[in-house]
Amino acid sequence: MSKPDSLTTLSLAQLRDGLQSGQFSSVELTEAWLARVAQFDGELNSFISVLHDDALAQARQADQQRQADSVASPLAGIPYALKDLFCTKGVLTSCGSRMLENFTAPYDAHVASQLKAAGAILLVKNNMDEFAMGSSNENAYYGAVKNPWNPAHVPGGSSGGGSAAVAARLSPMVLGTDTGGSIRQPASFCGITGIKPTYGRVSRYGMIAFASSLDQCGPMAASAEDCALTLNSIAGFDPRDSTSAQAAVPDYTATLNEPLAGLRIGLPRSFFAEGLEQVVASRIDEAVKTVEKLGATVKDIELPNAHLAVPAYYIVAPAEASSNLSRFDGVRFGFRCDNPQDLQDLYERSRWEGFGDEVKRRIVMGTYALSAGYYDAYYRKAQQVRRLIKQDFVAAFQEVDVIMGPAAPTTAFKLGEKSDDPVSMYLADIYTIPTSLAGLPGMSFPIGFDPQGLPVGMQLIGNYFDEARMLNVAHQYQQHTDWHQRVPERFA
Amino acid sequence: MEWETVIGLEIHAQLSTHSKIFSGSSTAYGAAPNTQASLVDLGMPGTLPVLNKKAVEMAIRLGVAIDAEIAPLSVFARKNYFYPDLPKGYQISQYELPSLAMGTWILR
Repeated sequence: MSKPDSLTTLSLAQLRDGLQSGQFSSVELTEAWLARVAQFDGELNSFISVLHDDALAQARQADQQRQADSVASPLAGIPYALKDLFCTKGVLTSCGSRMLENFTAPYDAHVASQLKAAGAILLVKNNMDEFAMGSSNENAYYGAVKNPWNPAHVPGGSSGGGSAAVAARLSPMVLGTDTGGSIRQPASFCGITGIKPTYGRVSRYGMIAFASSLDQCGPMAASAEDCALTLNSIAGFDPRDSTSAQAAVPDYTATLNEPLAGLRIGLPRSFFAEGLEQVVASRIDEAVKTVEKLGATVKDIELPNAHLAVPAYYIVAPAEASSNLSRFDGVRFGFRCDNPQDLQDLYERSRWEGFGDEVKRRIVMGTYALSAGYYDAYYRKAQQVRRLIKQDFVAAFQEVDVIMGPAAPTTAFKLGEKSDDPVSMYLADIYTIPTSLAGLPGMSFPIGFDPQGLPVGMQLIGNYFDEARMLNVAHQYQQHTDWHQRVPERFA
Repeated sequence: MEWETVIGLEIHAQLSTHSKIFSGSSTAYGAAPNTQASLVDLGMPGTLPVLNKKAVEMAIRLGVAIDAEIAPLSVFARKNYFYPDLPKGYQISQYELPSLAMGTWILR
Protein backbone atom coordinates (compact mmCIF):
# COMPACT_ATOMS: atom_id res chain seq x y z
CA MET A 1 0.00 0.00 0.00
CA SER A 2 1.29 3.45 -0.83
CA LYS A 3 1.68 6.15 1.76
CA PRO A 4 -0.13 9.43 1.24
CA ASP A 5 2.10 12.37 0.22
CA SER A 6 1.66 14.05 3.54
CA LEU A 7 0.44 12.40 6.71
CA THR A 8 -0.24 15.79 8.23
CA THR A 9 -3.04 16.74 5.84
CA LEU A 10 -5.29 13.86 6.85
CA SER A 11 -8.40 14.04 9.03
CA LEU A 12 -8.69 12.00 12.21
CA ALA A 13 -10.93 9.52 10.41
CA GLN A 14 -8.35 9.16 7.61
CA LEU A 15 -5.56 8.76 10.16
CA ARG A 16 -7.57 6.08 11.94
CA ASP A 17 -8.23 4.23 8.68
CA GLY A 18 -4.61 4.52 7.54
CA LEU A 19 -3.32 3.16 10.84
CA GLN A 20 -5.85 0.33 10.86
CA SER A 21 -5.06 -0.72 7.29
CA GLY A 22 -1.31 -0.52 7.92
CA GLN A 23 -0.65 2.30 5.41
CA PHE A 24 1.55 3.97 7.98
CA SER A 25 2.56 3.44 11.59
CA SER A 26 1.94 5.58 14.62
CA VAL A 27 5.68 6.19 14.90
CA GLU A 28 5.75 7.54 11.32
CA LEU A 29 2.75 9.67 12.09
CA THR A 30 4.21 11.04 15.30
CA GLU A 31 7.52 11.79 13.61
CA ALA A 32 5.71 13.61 10.81
CA TRP A 33 3.79 15.83 13.21
CA LEU A 34 6.87 16.47 15.36
CA ALA A 35 8.75 17.52 12.25
CA ARG A 36 6.01 19.99 11.39
CA VAL A 37 6.06 21.41 14.89
CA ALA A 38 9.84 21.86 14.68
CA GLN A 39 9.60 23.43 11.24
CA PHE A 40 6.81 25.91 11.86
CA ASP A 41 6.17 26.63 15.49
CA GLY A 42 8.90 29.23 15.72
CA GLU A 43 6.63 31.48 13.66
CA LEU A 44 3.49 30.90 15.71
CA ASN A 45 4.55 30.22 19.30
CA SER A 46 1.55 27.93 19.71
CA PHE A 47 3.21 25.48 22.08
CA ILE A 48 4.65 25.64 25.58
CA SER A 49 5.96 22.05 25.80
CA VAL A 50 6.78 19.50 23.11
CA LEU A 51 6.79 15.93 24.43
CA HIS A 52 9.16 14.55 21.84
CA ASP A 53 10.50 11.40 23.53
CA ASP A 54 7.36 10.54 25.48
CA ALA A 55 5.28 10.86 22.32
CA LEU A 56 7.55 8.55 20.32
CA ALA A 57 7.60 6.01 23.15
CA GLN A 58 3.80 6.05 23.26
CA ALA A 59 3.68 5.72 19.49
CA ARG A 60 5.89 2.62 19.56
CA GLN A 61 3.61 1.17 22.20
CA ALA A 62 0.54 1.97 20.11
CA ASP A 63 2.08 0.20 17.11
CA GLN A 64 2.86 -2.89 19.19
CA GLN A 65 -0.64 -2.96 20.64
CA ARG A 66 -2.14 -2.60 17.19
CA GLN A 67 -0.33 -5.73 16.05
CA ALA A 68 -1.51 -7.66 19.09
CA ASP A 69 -5.06 -6.33 19.16
CA SER A 70 -7.13 -6.19 16.00
CA VAL A 71 -9.86 -3.91 17.38
CA ALA A 72 -8.16 -0.63 18.28
CA SER A 73 -9.94 2.45 19.57
CA PRO A 74 -10.51 5.09 16.86
CA LEU A 75 -7.93 7.48 18.32
CA ALA A 76 -5.26 4.83 19.03
CA GLY A 77 -1.87 5.95 17.80
CA ILE A 78 -3.04 9.42 16.75
CA PRO A 79 -1.18 12.48 18.10
CA TYR A 80 -3.01 15.37 19.74
CA ALA A 81 -2.35 18.44 21.90
CA LEU A 82 -3.70 19.77 25.18
CA LYS A 83 -4.11 23.33 26.33
CA ASP A 84 -1.57 23.82 29.09
CA LEU A 85 -4.18 23.97 31.85
CA PHE A 86 -4.94 20.25 31.78
CA CYS A 87 -2.86 18.50 34.40
CA THR A 88 -0.52 15.92 32.90
CA LYS A 89 1.44 13.60 35.16
CA GLY A 90 5.13 14.37 35.19
CA VAL A 91 4.78 17.16 32.63
CA LEU A 92 4.84 20.94 33.07
CA THR A 93 1.30 22.28 33.51
CA SER A 94 1.86 26.03 33.46
CA CYS A 95 -1.60 27.49 32.80
CA GLY A 96 0.35 30.01 30.73
CA SER A 97 1.51 31.71 33.92
CA ARG A 98 4.71 32.51 35.75
CA MET A 99 2.79 31.30 38.81
CA LEU A 100 2.94 27.70 37.55
CA GLU A 101 6.12 27.91 35.49
CA ASN A 102 7.64 25.32 37.84
CA PHE A 103 4.54 23.15 38.34
CA THR A 104 4.80 19.54 37.23
CA ALA A 105 1.40 18.01 37.82
CA PRO A 106 1.38 14.80 39.89
CA TYR A 107 -1.65 13.38 38.07
CA ASP A 108 -3.52 13.29 34.76
CA ALA A 109 -6.69 15.28 34.14
CA HIS A 110 -9.73 13.13 33.37
CA VAL A 111 -9.66 13.98 29.67
CA ALA A 112 -5.93 13.28 29.46
CA SER A 113 -6.38 9.87 31.04
CA GLN A 114 -9.40 9.15 28.80
CA LEU A 115 -7.35 9.93 25.70
CA LYS A 116 -4.38 8.00 27.04
CA ALA A 117 -6.66 5.00 27.59
CA ALA A 118 -7.91 5.43 24.02
CA GLY A 119 -4.29 5.22 22.85
CA ALA A 120 -4.02 8.83 21.63
CA ILE A 121 -0.55 10.34 21.83
CA LEU A 122 0.04 13.60 23.65
CA LEU A 123 2.39 15.49 21.36
CA VAL A 124 2.46 19.00 22.78
CA LYS A 125 0.88 21.34 25.27
CA ASN A 126 -0.52 24.55 23.86
CA ASN A 127 0.14 28.17 24.69
CA MET A 128 -2.82 30.09 26.13
CA ASP A 129 -3.90 33.29 27.81
CA GLU A 130 -2.77 33.18 31.43
CA PHE A 131 -5.26 31.15 33.50
CA ALA A 132 -7.52 31.21 30.40
CA MET A 133 -8.25 34.92 30.87
CA GLY A 134 -8.20 36.66 27.54
CA SER A 135 -9.56 36.80 24.01
CA SER A 136 -6.36 37.28 22.01
CA ASN A 137 -3.67 35.07 23.54
CA GLU A 138 -1.72 38.24 24.34
CA ASN A 139 -2.08 37.86 28.13
CA ALA A 140 0.56 35.21 27.78
CA TYR A 141 3.58 34.69 30.00
CA TYR A 142 5.05 32.47 27.26
CA GLY A 143 4.52 35.18 24.65
CA ALA A 144 1.74 36.03 22.22
CA VAL A 145 0.58 33.47 19.65
CA LYS A 146 0.34 34.52 15.98
CA ASN A 147 -2.59 33.81 13.69
CA PRO A 148 -1.43 31.42 10.93
CA TRP A 149 -3.58 33.29 8.38
CA ASN A 150 -1.72 36.52 9.07
CA PRO A 151 1.01 36.74 11.71
CA ALA A 152 0.20 40.40 12.40
CA HIS A 153 -3.17 39.27 13.79
CA VAL A 154 -4.15 37.48 16.98
CA PRO A 155 -5.42 33.86 16.96
CA GLY A 156 -8.14 34.66 19.51
CA GLY A 157 -8.13 33.34 23.05
CA SER A 158 -7.84 31.93 25.47
CA SER A 159 -7.32 28.63 23.58
CA GLY A 160 -5.30 30.57 20.96
CA GLY A 161 -2.33 28.21 20.92
CA GLY A 162 -4.62 25.30 20.13
CA SER A 163 -6.58 27.11 17.41
CA ALA A 164 -3.37 28.32 15.73
CA ALA A 165 -1.89 24.81 15.91
CA VAL A 166 -4.91 23.22 14.23
CA ALA A 167 -5.16 25.98 11.59
CA ALA A 168 -1.48 25.53 10.66
CA ARG A 169 -1.90 21.73 10.83
CA LEU A 170 0.68 21.36 13.58
CA SER A 171 -1.69 19.04 15.43
CA PRO A 172 -4.64 17.07 14.04
CA MET A 173 -6.74 17.77 17.13
CA VAL A 174 -6.42 19.69 20.37
CA LEU A 175 -8.46 20.00 23.53
CA GLY A 176 -9.26 23.51 24.65
CA THR A 177 -11.46 25.00 27.32
CA ASP A 178 -14.25 27.53 27.06
CA THR A 179 -15.46 29.71 29.92
CA GLY A 180 -16.92 32.64 27.98
CA GLY A 181 -15.94 31.74 24.42
CA SER A 182 -12.37 30.47 24.67
CA ILE A 183 -12.93 27.59 22.23
CA ARG A 184 -15.43 29.24 19.86
CA GLN A 185 -13.84 32.68 19.38
CA PRO A 186 -10.33 31.36 18.59
CA ALA A 187 -11.85 28.66 16.36
CA SER A 188 -13.61 31.48 14.50
CA PHE A 189 -10.45 33.62 14.24
CA CYS A 190 -8.35 30.71 12.96
CA GLY A 191 -10.88 29.11 10.59
CA ILE A 192 -11.22 25.79 12.40
CA THR A 193 -14.03 23.81 14.04
CA GLY A 194 -14.43 23.79 17.82
CA ILE A 195 -17.20 22.75 20.16
CA LYS A 196 -17.89 23.74 23.74
CA PRO A 197 -20.16 20.98 24.99
CA THR A 198 -23.02 21.42 27.46
CA TYR A 199 -21.79 22.34 30.94
CA GLY A 200 -21.27 18.99 32.66
CA ARG A 201 -20.87 16.93 29.47
CA VAL A 202 -17.11 16.53 30.01
CA SER A 203 -15.47 16.16 33.41
CA ARG A 204 -13.49 19.15 34.66
CA TYR A 205 -11.32 17.00 36.94
CA GLY A 206 -7.71 18.00 36.41
CA MET A 207 -8.57 21.13 34.44
CA ILE A 208 -7.18 24.10 36.37
CA ALA A 209 -10.25 26.09 37.33
CA PHE A 210 -10.98 29.62 36.12
CA ALA A 211 -14.73 30.02 36.73
CA SER A 212 -16.15 26.74 38.00
CA SER A 213 -19.77 27.32 37.02
CA LEU A 214 -18.79 28.05 33.40
CA ASP A 215 -15.60 26.12 32.52
CA GLN A 216 -16.01 23.32 30.02
CA CYS A 217 -13.55 21.31 27.95
CA GLY A 218 -14.02 20.58 24.27
CA PRO A 219 -12.25 19.52 21.08
CA MET A 220 -10.90 21.78 18.33
CA ALA A 221 -10.03 20.25 14.97
CA ALA A 222 -10.33 20.78 11.25
CA SER A 223 -13.85 19.40 10.93
CA ALA A 224 -17.04 18.57 12.81
CA GLU A 225 -16.42 14.88 12.13
CA ASP A 226 -13.04 15.09 13.89
CA CYS A 227 -14.65 16.89 16.83
CA ALA A 228 -17.31 14.15 17.00
CA LEU A 229 -14.69 11.39 17.06
CA THR A 230 -12.88 13.17 19.88
CA LEU A 231 -15.98 13.97 21.90
CA ASN A 232 -16.83 10.26 21.86
CA SER A 233 -13.68 9.62 23.89
CA ILE A 234 -13.94 12.42 26.45
CA ALA A 235 -17.66 12.89 27.21
CA GLY A 236 -19.43 11.20 30.08
CA PHE A 237 -19.87 11.01 33.82
CA ASP A 238 -16.83 11.11 36.08
CA PRO A 239 -17.39 10.50 39.80
CA ARG A 240 -14.53 12.91 40.57
CA ASP A 241 -16.48 15.87 39.17
CA SER A 242 -19.85 16.32 40.90
CA THR A 243 -21.01 18.65 38.12
CA SER A 244 -20.37 16.10 35.39
CA ALA A 245 -23.67 14.84 34.00
CA GLN A 246 -25.02 11.31 34.30
CA ALA A 247 -26.74 11.65 30.90
CA ALA A 248 -25.95 8.86 28.42
CA VAL A 249 -23.30 9.62 25.80
CA PRO A 250 -24.42 8.90 22.24
CA ASP A 251 -22.02 7.95 19.45
CA TYR A 252 -21.54 11.44 18.01
CA THR A 253 -20.35 10.03 14.69
CA ALA A 254 -23.48 7.90 14.17
CA THR A 255 -25.78 10.82 13.29
CA LEU A 256 -23.36 12.98 11.27
CA ASN A 257 -25.01 12.00 8.00
CA GLU A 258 -28.62 12.53 9.05
CA PRO A 259 -30.35 14.74 6.47
CA LEU A 260 -31.17 18.30 7.53
CA ALA A 261 -34.68 18.28 6.03
CA GLY A 262 -37.04 19.87 8.51
CA LEU A 263 -34.30 21.30 10.74
CA ARG A 264 -35.55 24.51 12.39
CA ILE A 265 -32.91 27.22 12.69
CA GLY A 266 -33.33 30.29 14.88
CA LEU A 267 -31.55 33.56 14.14
CA PRO A 268 -31.35 35.88 17.14
CA ARG A 269 -32.02 39.27 15.55
CA SER A 270 -30.14 41.09 18.30
CA PHE A 271 -26.94 39.27 17.26
CA PHE A 272 -27.10 40.95 13.85
CA ALA A 273 -27.48 44.52 15.07
CA GLU A 274 -24.96 47.26 15.85
CA GLY A 275 -21.41 46.12 16.51
CA LEU A 276 -21.32 43.25 14.00
CA GLU A 277 -18.86 43.72 11.18
CA GLN A 278 -20.70 43.80 7.82
CA VAL A 279 -18.54 41.12 6.22
CA VAL A 280 -19.25 38.72 9.08
CA ALA A 281 -22.98 39.34 8.69
CA SER A 282 -22.75 38.69 4.94
CA ARG A 283 -20.85 35.43 5.33
CA ILE A 284 -23.40 34.24 7.89
CA ASP A 285 -26.28 35.07 5.53
CA GLU A 286 -24.59 32.97 2.85
CA ALA A 287 -23.95 30.06 5.23
CA VAL A 288 -27.54 30.11 6.47
CA LYS A 289 -28.73 30.01 2.85
CA THR A 290 -26.53 26.97 2.23
CA VAL A 291 -28.11 25.18 5.17
CA GLU A 292 -31.58 26.22 3.98
CA LYS A 293 -30.84 24.59 0.63
CA LEU A 294 -30.19 21.37 2.54
CA GLY A 295 -33.77 21.46 3.78
CA ALA A 296 -33.66 23.58 6.92
CA THR A 297 -36.13 26.34 7.71
CA VAL A 298 -35.17 29.64 9.29
CA LYS A 299 -36.99 31.94 11.68
CA ASP A 300 -36.09 34.97 13.76
CA ILE A 301 -35.98 34.55 17.51
CA GLU A 302 -35.67 36.94 20.41
CA LEU A 303 -33.17 36.69 23.24
CA PRO A 304 -34.35 39.77 25.13
CA ASN A 305 -31.80 39.57 27.94
CA ALA A 306 -28.73 38.62 25.92
CA HIS A 307 -27.44 42.21 26.04
CA LEU A 308 -26.97 41.79 29.80
CA ALA A 309 -24.68 38.80 29.36
CA VAL A 310 -21.30 40.55 29.18
CA PRO A 311 -21.79 42.63 32.35
CA ALA A 312 -23.20 39.62 34.23
CA TYR A 313 -20.31 37.46 33.06
CA TYR A 314 -17.77 40.02 34.27
CA ILE A 315 -19.22 39.68 37.76
CA VAL A 316 -19.62 35.90 37.85
CA ALA A 317 -16.38 34.83 36.17
CA PRO A 318 -13.97 37.12 38.08
CA ALA A 319 -15.79 36.36 41.36
CA GLU A 320 -15.29 32.63 40.92
CA ALA A 321 -11.74 33.15 39.66
CA SER A 322 -10.78 35.24 42.67
CA SER A 323 -11.71 32.31 44.90
CA ASN A 324 -10.27 29.59 42.63
CA LEU A 325 -6.94 31.36 42.32
CA SER A 326 -6.47 31.92 46.03
CA ARG A 327 -4.66 28.57 46.33
CA PHE A 328 -1.73 30.11 44.44
CA ASP A 329 -0.21 31.69 47.52
CA GLY A 330 3.45 30.64 47.39
CA VAL A 331 3.02 28.13 50.22
CA ARG A 332 2.71 24.66 48.66
CA PHE A 333 3.15 24.80 44.91
CA GLY A 334 3.90 27.24 42.16
CA PHE A 335 5.86 30.47 42.26
CA ARG A 336 7.30 31.78 45.51
CA CYS A 337 8.95 35.19 45.78
CA ASP A 338 12.60 35.45 46.81
CA ASN A 339 13.43 36.06 50.48
CA PRO A 340 9.97 36.56 51.97
CA GLN A 341 10.25 38.66 55.12
CA ASP A 342 7.14 37.27 56.78
CA LEU A 343 3.89 35.52 55.89
CA GLN A 344 2.17 38.67 54.62
CA ASP A 345 5.15 39.48 52.43
CA LEU A 346 5.20 35.90 51.09
CA TYR A 347 1.56 36.15 50.05
CA GLU A 348 1.75 39.65 48.63
CA ARG A 349 4.91 39.36 46.59
CA SER A 350 4.35 35.77 45.43
CA ARG A 351 0.98 36.77 44.01
CA TRP A 352 2.11 40.19 42.76
CA GLU A 353 5.12 38.75 40.95
CA GLY A 354 3.56 35.41 39.92
CA PHE A 355 0.37 36.67 38.27
CA GLY A 356 0.14 38.86 35.17
CA ASP A 357 -1.86 42.09 34.91
CA GLU A 358 -5.13 40.72 33.51
CA VAL A 359 -5.26 37.96 36.13
CA LYS A 360 -4.67 40.52 38.88
CA ARG A 361 -7.35 42.79 37.39
CA ARG A 362 -9.90 39.97 37.54
CA ILE A 363 -8.89 38.89 41.04
CA VAL A 364 -9.44 42.47 42.22
CA MET A 365 -12.82 42.76 40.46
CA GLY A 366 -13.95 39.38 41.72
CA THR A 367 -12.82 39.91 45.29
CA TYR A 368 -14.67 43.24 45.34
CA ALA A 369 -17.85 41.67 43.97
CA LEU A 370 -17.78 38.95 46.64
CA SER A 371 -16.73 41.12 49.57
CA ALA A 372 -19.01 41.37 52.59
CA GLY A 373 -22.09 43.44 51.86
CA TYR A 374 -21.63 43.44 48.08
CA TYR A 375 -22.58 39.82 47.40
CA ASP A 376 -26.29 40.62 47.05
CA ALA A 377 -25.67 43.65 44.86
CA TYR A 378 -23.29 41.92 42.46
CA TYR A 379 -22.88 38.14 42.44
CA ARG A 380 -26.48 37.32 43.38
CA LYS A 381 -27.86 39.85 40.91
CA ALA A 382 -25.60 38.52 38.16
CA GLN A 383 -26.84 34.99 38.88
CA GLN A 384 -30.42 36.26 38.56
CA VAL A 385 -29.61 37.83 35.20
CA ARG A 386 -28.07 34.53 34.23
CA ARG A 387 -31.33 32.74 34.97
CA LEU A 388 -33.22 35.20 32.74
CA ILE A 389 -30.77 34.58 29.89
CA LYS A 390 -31.21 30.84 30.31
CA GLN A 391 -35.01 31.21 30.24
CA ASP A 392 -34.75 33.14 26.96
CA PHE A 393 -32.87 30.23 25.40
CA VAL A 394 -35.25 27.64 26.85
CA ALA A 395 -38.17 29.54 25.28
CA ALA A 396 -36.34 29.83 21.95
CA PHE A 397 -35.66 26.10 21.86
CA GLN A 398 -39.41 25.46 22.06
CA GLU A 399 -39.55 26.76 18.50
CA VAL A 400 -36.20 25.91 16.94
CA ASP A 401 -33.68 23.05 16.97
CA VAL A 402 -30.48 25.05 16.69
CA ILE A 403 -29.52 28.71 16.79
CA MET A 404 -27.10 30.28 14.34
CA GLY A 405 -25.21 33.53 14.57
CA PRO A 406 -21.76 35.06 14.65
CA ALA A 407 -19.08 33.57 16.92
CA ALA A 408 -17.35 36.94 17.16
CA PRO A 409 -18.22 40.48 16.03
CA THR A 410 -15.16 40.76 13.78
CA THR A 411 -12.50 38.66 12.15
CA ALA A 412 -9.15 38.38 13.95
CA PHE A 413 -7.93 41.80 15.05
CA LYS A 414 -4.32 42.95 15.01
CA LEU A 415 -1.83 42.14 17.75
CA GLY A 416 -1.77 45.04 20.17
CA GLU A 417 -5.00 46.54 18.80
CA LYS A 418 -7.06 45.92 21.94
CA SER A 419 -4.47 45.00 24.54
CA ASP A 420 -4.67 48.40 26.27
CA ASP A 421 -8.46 48.46 26.30
CA PRO A 422 -9.90 45.66 28.45
CA VAL A 423 -13.55 46.58 27.83
CA SER A 424 -13.16 46.45 24.06
CA MET A 425 -11.35 43.12 24.49
CA TYR A 426 -14.20 41.78 26.65
CA LEU A 427 -16.69 42.63 23.87
CA ALA A 428 -14.89 40.16 21.57
CA ASP A 429 -16.93 37.50 23.40
CA ILE A 430 -20.30 39.24 23.21
CA TYR A 431 -21.94 36.44 21.17
CA THR A 432 -20.41 33.49 23.00
CA ILE A 433 -20.97 34.60 26.59
CA PRO A 434 -24.80 34.24 26.64
CA THR A 435 -24.45 30.55 25.73
CA SER A 436 -21.84 30.05 28.44
CA LEU A 437 -24.00 31.67 31.12
CA ALA A 438 -26.90 29.40 30.11
CA GLY A 439 -24.66 26.29 30.21
CA LEU A 440 -25.64 25.45 26.63
CA PRO A 441 -23.38 23.84 24.04
CA GLY A 442 -21.96 26.08 21.33
CA MET A 443 -19.63 25.55 18.43
CA SER A 444 -17.88 27.54 15.74
CA PHE A 445 -17.00 26.39 12.24
CA PRO A 446 -15.50 28.23 9.27
CA ILE A 447 -17.83 29.75 6.65
CA GLY A 448 -15.51 31.84 4.48
CA PHE A 449 -13.10 34.74 4.57
CA ASP A 450 -13.07 38.52 4.77
CA PRO A 451 -11.40 40.60 2.03
CA GLN A 452 -8.11 40.51 3.98
CA GLY A 453 -8.09 36.71 3.81
CA LEU A 454 -8.98 36.21 7.47
CA PRO A 455 -11.46 33.44 8.33
CA VAL A 456 -15.05 34.06 9.43
CA GLY A 457 -16.73 31.65 11.84
CA MET A 458 -20.36 30.75 12.41
CA GLN A 459 -21.59 30.02 15.90
CA LEU A 460 -24.05 27.18 16.25
CA ILE A 461 -25.88 26.92 19.57
CA GLY A 462 -27.70 23.72 20.49
CA ASN A 463 -30.12 22.65 23.17
CA TYR A 464 -28.82 21.00 26.34
CA PHE A 465 -26.95 17.75 25.56
CA ASP A 466 -27.81 18.10 21.87
CA GLU A 467 -24.19 18.09 20.66
CA ALA A 468 -24.98 15.26 18.24
CA ARG A 469 -27.41 17.49 16.32
CA MET A 470 -24.95 20.40 16.23
CA LEU A 471 -22.18 18.19 14.90
CA ASN A 472 -24.62 16.77 12.36
CA VAL A 473 -25.53 20.27 11.11
CA ALA A 474 -21.91 21.41 10.90
CA HIS A 475 -20.87 18.16 9.21
CA GLN A 476 -23.60 18.47 6.58
CA TYR A 477 -22.51 22.06 5.92
CA GLN A 478 -18.92 20.82 5.58
CA GLN A 479 -20.01 18.12 3.14
CA HIS A 480 -21.22 20.90 0.84
CA THR A 481 -18.42 23.46 1.37
CA ASP A 482 -14.67 23.27 1.65
CA TRP A 483 -13.84 26.19 3.98
CA HIS A 484 -12.79 23.74 6.69
CA GLN A 485 -10.21 22.21 4.35
CA ARG A 486 -8.46 25.51 3.62
CA VAL A 487 -4.98 25.83 5.08
CA PRO A 488 -2.98 29.09 5.14
CA GLU A 489 -0.62 29.13 2.14
CA ARG A 490 2.45 29.36 4.32
CA PHE A 491 1.52 26.09 6.06
CA ALA A 492 -0.02 24.18 3.16
CA MET B 1 -27.36 47.86 84.78
CA GLU B 2 -28.83 44.40 84.46
CA TRP B 3 -27.37 41.81 82.12
CA GLU B 4 -28.99 38.66 80.80
CA THR B 5 -26.57 35.85 80.14
CA VAL B 6 -27.02 34.17 76.76
CA ILE B 7 -24.40 31.58 75.83
CA GLY B 8 -23.95 30.06 72.39
CA LEU B 9 -21.83 26.98 71.88
CA GLU B 10 -19.97 26.16 68.66
CA ILE B 11 -19.55 22.42 68.82
CA HIS B 12 -17.15 20.63 66.51
CA ALA B 13 -18.07 16.97 66.23
CA GLN B 14 -16.17 14.51 64.11
CA LEU B 15 -18.46 12.16 62.25
CA SER B 16 -17.45 8.51 62.35
CA THR B 17 -17.17 8.18 58.57
CA HIS B 18 -14.47 5.99 57.04
CA SER B 19 -13.38 8.68 54.61
CA LYS B 20 -13.08 12.46 54.67
CA ILE B 21 -16.02 14.72 53.92
CA PHE B 22 -14.74 15.88 50.49
CA SER B 23 -12.35 13.13 49.44
CA GLY B 24 -11.95 9.38 49.58
CA SER B 25 -8.95 9.59 51.93
CA SER B 26 -9.14 7.49 55.07
CA THR B 27 -9.89 9.10 58.42
CA ALA B 28 -8.33 6.24 60.41
CA TYR B 29 -6.35 7.42 63.41
CA GLY B 30 -2.69 6.49 63.81
CA ALA B 31 -1.58 5.92 60.22
CA ALA B 32 1.86 7.03 59.04
CA PRO B 33 2.22 10.72 58.11
CA ASN B 34 1.16 11.74 54.59
CA THR B 35 -0.51 8.42 53.85
CA GLN B 36 -4.03 9.81 54.18
CA ALA B 37 -3.67 13.02 52.17
CA SER B 38 -4.96 12.85 48.62
CA LEU B 39 -4.53 15.31 45.75
CA VAL B 40 -7.93 16.74 46.66
CA ASP B 41 -6.94 17.26 50.31
CA LEU B 42 -3.74 18.98 49.21
CA GLY B 43 -5.71 21.43 47.09
CA MET B 44 -3.78 20.49 43.97
CA PRO B 45 -4.72 22.64 40.96
CA GLY B 46 -7.51 21.01 38.96
CA THR B 47 -8.85 18.81 41.74
CA LEU B 48 -12.49 19.00 42.85
CA PRO B 49 -14.26 18.07 46.09
CA VAL B 50 -16.83 15.29 46.10
CA LEU B 51 -19.22 15.28 49.05
CA ASN B 52 -19.25 12.17 51.25
CA LYS B 53 -22.77 10.76 51.07
CA LYS B 54 -22.41 9.08 54.46
CA ALA B 55 -21.65 12.44 56.10
CA VAL B 56 -24.90 13.87 54.74
CA GLU B 57 -26.82 10.84 55.98
CA MET B 58 -25.32 11.26 59.44
CA ALA B 59 -26.20 14.95 59.47
CA ILE B 60 -29.79 14.10 58.58
CA ARG B 61 -29.91 11.47 61.33
CA LEU B 62 -28.78 14.11 63.79
CA GLY B 63 -31.47 16.42 62.43
CA VAL B 64 -34.14 13.77 63.01
CA ALA B 65 -32.84 13.16 66.52
CA ILE B 66 -33.03 16.82 67.54
CA ASP B 67 -36.23 17.58 65.62
CA ALA B 68 -34.46 20.04 63.32
CA GLU B 69 -35.68 21.49 60.07
CA ILE B 70 -33.92 19.42 57.43
CA ALA B 71 -33.27 21.38 54.26
CA PRO B 72 -34.46 19.76 51.03
CA LEU B 73 -31.88 21.91 49.23
CA SER B 74 -28.65 22.54 51.02
CA VAL B 75 -25.71 24.55 49.74
CA PHE B 76 -22.00 24.64 50.48
CA ALA B 77 -20.22 27.98 50.36
CA ARG B 78 -16.60 29.03 50.32
CA LYS B 79 -15.18 31.03 53.19
CA ASN B 80 -12.16 32.71 51.64
CA TYR B 81 -9.08 33.73 53.60
CA PHE B 82 -5.34 33.20 53.40
CA TYR B 83 -3.71 31.02 56.01
CA PRO B 84 -0.77 28.60 55.74
CA ASP B 85 -2.80 25.59 56.88
CA LEU B 86 -5.47 26.24 54.25
CA PRO B 87 -4.19 24.85 50.93
CA LYS B 88 -7.04 26.14 48.74
CA GLY B 89 -7.37 29.56 50.34
CA TYR B 90 -10.93 28.82 51.41
CA GLN B 91 -12.89 26.55 53.69
CA ILE B 92 -15.85 24.69 52.27
CA SER B 93 -18.61 25.44 54.74
CA GLN B 94 -22.34 26.04 54.93
CA TYR B 95 -23.78 29.50 55.30
CA GLU B 96 -27.16 30.43 53.82
CA LEU B 97 -28.73 27.00 53.33
CA PRO B 98 -27.28 24.57 55.88
CA SER B 99 -28.38 20.96 55.99
CA LEU B 100 -30.23 21.49 59.28
CA ALA B 101 -31.40 24.33 61.44
CA MET B 102 -33.57 25.08 64.47
CA GLY B 103 -33.14 21.75 66.21
CA THR B 104 -33.63 21.52 69.96
CA TRP B 105 -32.21 19.31 72.64
CA ILE B 106 -33.30 19.92 76.19
CA LEU B 107 -30.66 19.18 78.81
CA ARG B 108 -31.97 17.88 82.08
